[in-house]
Parts: sequence; C-alpha cells; structure tokens
Amino acid sequence: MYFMRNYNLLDEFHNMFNDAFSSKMLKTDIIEKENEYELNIEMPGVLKDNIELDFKESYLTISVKEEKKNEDLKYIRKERVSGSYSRSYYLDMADGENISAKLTDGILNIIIKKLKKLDTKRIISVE
Amino acid sequence: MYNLNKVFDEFFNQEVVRSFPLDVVETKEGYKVIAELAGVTKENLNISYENDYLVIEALKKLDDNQYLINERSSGKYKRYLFFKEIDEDGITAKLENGLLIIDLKRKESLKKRIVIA
Repeated sequence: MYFMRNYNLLDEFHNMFNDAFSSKMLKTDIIEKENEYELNIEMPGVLKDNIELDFKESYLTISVKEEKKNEDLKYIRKERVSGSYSRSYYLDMADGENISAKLTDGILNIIIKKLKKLDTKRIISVE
Repeated sequence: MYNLNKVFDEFFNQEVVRSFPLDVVETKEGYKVIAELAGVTKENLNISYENDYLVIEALKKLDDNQYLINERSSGKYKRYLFFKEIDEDGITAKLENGLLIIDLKRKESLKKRIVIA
C-alpha cells in the first residue's frame, strides 16, 4: 500500500472500484430543471442487484459491481470493458430524501428533487 | 453549454456515424455477437446480413435539453462485421438491458459422401 495522506479504511472500499470518469465508463447526461435534476447513466448489461446508489452532502455516488461469469468463452473479438466502477456527481441543493431511480434498456434514469430555498429573511424588531 | 459533438458534425457537413463496443465469441453452432447499445429500442434498430457482412444499425435519440453534462452521443450508430459461411436463416437477435445479442449459425458444410462400391 503506497503512502497516502489521510488514509482511512473507507478509501480501501473505494479502491475496489475503478474511477468511471477517467475510463469513460458510466457515460452520463445530467439535466438541471427548476425543481429537480435528471441523470441518465449508461450501463449496458448491468443488473439491478449490482448497482449501489448513495447520496451524501450533495454528492450522488454510483457503484456498479462486475458480474463474475464462470464462462470460458472463446473470444474472436473483445472490445467491451468489464470491471467494477464508481463515480460521484456533485448536485448543488439536491434533496437526498427525494431520489428515484429506474433501470431501463441499460440506462439508469435518476430523478432527484431540489431542496427548496429557505426564505431566510426575518424582520427583527428593536425593543 | 453547447454540444461539442454537434459543432464538429455541422462543420464537416457529413452525417457522423458512430461506433459501439462489441464482443464476438465462437460458439458450438457458430458465433455470438454481444454489442453495447444502451438506450436503443427495437424500433430504432436494424440488423441485416448481406454479402458475408452482418450490419448493425442503430439510432440513439436524445431529448433536446439544457444539459449540465452531456457525455452520451445521439445519432446514427453503425457497424459492419465480416462473417463467412453463415446460414442466413439461422440468425437470431435479442435486445436485453441495453445489450444486443446476435446468434449466428454456421452453414452446414455440404459433406460429400463417398460410397464404396
């Protein structure tokens, strides 16, 4: 284990997953609407059970586990990349309690509602 | 935020045809093609076999939106794969979870039976 500053046990977990962004996996589109964010993430061939989605402090993190196959396939051509991948997205003002996700045709569609801006103006009376 | 891909497409004034990753595996009956086509539906998919070439054509449609991030490319996807001696009637395809799986059967070789007189 090479020297890492501020190393903690959680890093060990993340090291199991490759960074999706640098390897061009989990191609994502993010649309920002007035009241919500919509994400469409490509993950062809991935099953629901191998997807982990979590939200913490405005960061949405997706982790996709590789399906280990015992097949002994005779490849004539191999272009598809396999492996476990993880990726995080920063979504300002996103409401972690209001997230829905659906997997269709190899695309994970996620909708996250935005937190309502608090009307913080208060008038203080002077005694 | 403009779509950089679109800028290049329009500049070269050609219809850009994109590629997609696929695996080809040898099977007992012939071959199996596993192609990644996330978000493509049956209606936007065209598969044909002609002159020893398997042609896979797909159309990805993306809604016109204001994207914060746009990594997925919409448009035409097409690939040609060379397969010799395939039984044209023995090609099956299915679309599952964004994967296109095509099974090709090898043509039954015409064995010549030599009769011993």
